[in-house]
Amino acid sequence: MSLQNTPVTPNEMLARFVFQSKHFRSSDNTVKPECFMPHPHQDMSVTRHRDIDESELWKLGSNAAAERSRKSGTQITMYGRADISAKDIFDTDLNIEPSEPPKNHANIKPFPSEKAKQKQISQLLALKAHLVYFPK
Amino acid sequence: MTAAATMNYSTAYLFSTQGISAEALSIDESKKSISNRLLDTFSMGERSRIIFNRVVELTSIASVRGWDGYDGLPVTYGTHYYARRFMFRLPEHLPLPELSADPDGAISMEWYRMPDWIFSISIDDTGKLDYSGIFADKKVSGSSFFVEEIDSDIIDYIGRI
Repeated sequence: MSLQNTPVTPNEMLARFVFQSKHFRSSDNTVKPECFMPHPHQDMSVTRHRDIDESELWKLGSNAAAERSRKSGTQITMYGRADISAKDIFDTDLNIEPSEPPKNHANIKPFPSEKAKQKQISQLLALKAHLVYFPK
Repeated sequence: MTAAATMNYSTAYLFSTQGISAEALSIDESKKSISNRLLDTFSMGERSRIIFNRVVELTSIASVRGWDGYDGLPVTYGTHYYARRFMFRLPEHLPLPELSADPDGAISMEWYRMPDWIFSISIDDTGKLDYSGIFADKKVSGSSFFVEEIDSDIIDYIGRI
């Protein structure tokens, strides 16, 4: 069932898939701010946990990695995901807009255009996020 | 120890380019040649070697457009150059940052203690610095340009990590 017309509520969990090894710290299993940097775009993709189970969530991440691999011509690896609550996004004065397809996709927007402010927001989001490794 | 510190300072100086005439460039090339030999000869070149290795490794990952599978811009030689220069100008007592590439082609330099004690600078191919830090309840952010010296505020922020 599509969530396109279902507004995101503060108690929802969102996933930002981690496609780069430099976007997390294996030393303490934390998410790096770079994972939440939108630049040069002013929005950022996330996937809503709502109404899907863990395996379907990972499947959506795998599809996104495959799409990136196809576009870039190189193998893009999904290392895991950064889970964050919608409330933590709203607390930074950003909005979350459903944007399907793909299923459960949403955009966080609008990030400020100034890069220093984007970095500040990305640090605050990384501080709240929880790293979940892709099961092997 | 004293000799090592002195030589490290000299090595950093050797990378300075302040003239653009043929003579100046020739002298600069000679300086680089000398400094490379110094790096190979003395153990105190270790910090410089780490800087080179980190920047080269990062550039190899993000050298083409779309390196992130999402239209990411490549890290150019200019960005590579400014990032190296910046790190060579860091006082010896400060740790070197972890590096990553930003989607806009800038190099991000991160000093990290824990998630709520972190300072990060992005540097681009014009020498523009965009920085942000969290020190528990205190937050800082701003922009400036790196020319020859690092702003004292930035040195202070890095020193807090």
